[in-house]
Amino acid sequence: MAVSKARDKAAFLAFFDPAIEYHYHVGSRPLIGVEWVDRFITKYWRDHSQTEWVLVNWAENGDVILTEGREDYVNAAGVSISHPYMGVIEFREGKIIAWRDYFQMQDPAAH
Amino acid sequence: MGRNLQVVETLMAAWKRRDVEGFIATLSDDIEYHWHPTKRPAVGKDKMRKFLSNYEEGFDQQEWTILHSAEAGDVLFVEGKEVLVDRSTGARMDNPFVQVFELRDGLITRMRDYYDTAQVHAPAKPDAAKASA
Repeated sequence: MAVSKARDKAAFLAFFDPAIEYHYHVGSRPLIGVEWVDRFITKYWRDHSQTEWVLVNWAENGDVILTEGREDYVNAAGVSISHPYMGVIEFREGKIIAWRDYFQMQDPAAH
Repeated sequence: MGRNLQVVETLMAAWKRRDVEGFIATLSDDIEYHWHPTKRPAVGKDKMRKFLSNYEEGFDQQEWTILHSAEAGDVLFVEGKEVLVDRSTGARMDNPFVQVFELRDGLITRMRDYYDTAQVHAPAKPDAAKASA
């Protein structure tokens, strides 16, 4: 979260296993491989401003952490968006191998 | 298995039998159920009975399965999947979802579900059902 806030892409990508399966929105097609996460975060940071990522609750079980929180941002069209969400993150050998975010997509510009 | 997960499994088992009072018995009197983060919650046991009645009228929930869970104090998270059959169209939908439960004295006081309604309702629309036929 800290490197995301700092928009430090190299440090952000270093958390992921090369084979990461990232469901940025469960229901949309997942991104497979860290190269796609790179493309995603590049576009996300380009198109989103005033981003705020807040975790309210979380719990771990083995290599899985389940989180509940909120993501706020202003999109490229200048519209303020707020997503209450739950995220599930799976680790393997210290790297993120799977990530699934569940929320109601309210931003037509986000796909 | 943690004690909070046992309570939730009791709730799930009751619903699979369509045992409404067995389901309600796992809830506190001040239960607050956020069945979707953008909708007004159902508050209290009477509202929960009404919610369950409406839900059962609209959908036949099948194959409710927990894939992952984790507990921290009185908070339990689950990730799971369910199959919903829309009773008005017969359309069968896979719905992946996550839930947060807060418990007090062995009873569920808060439930919050996270999913995208587009995933659930889109296939139930007549045009979508026709297109996928």
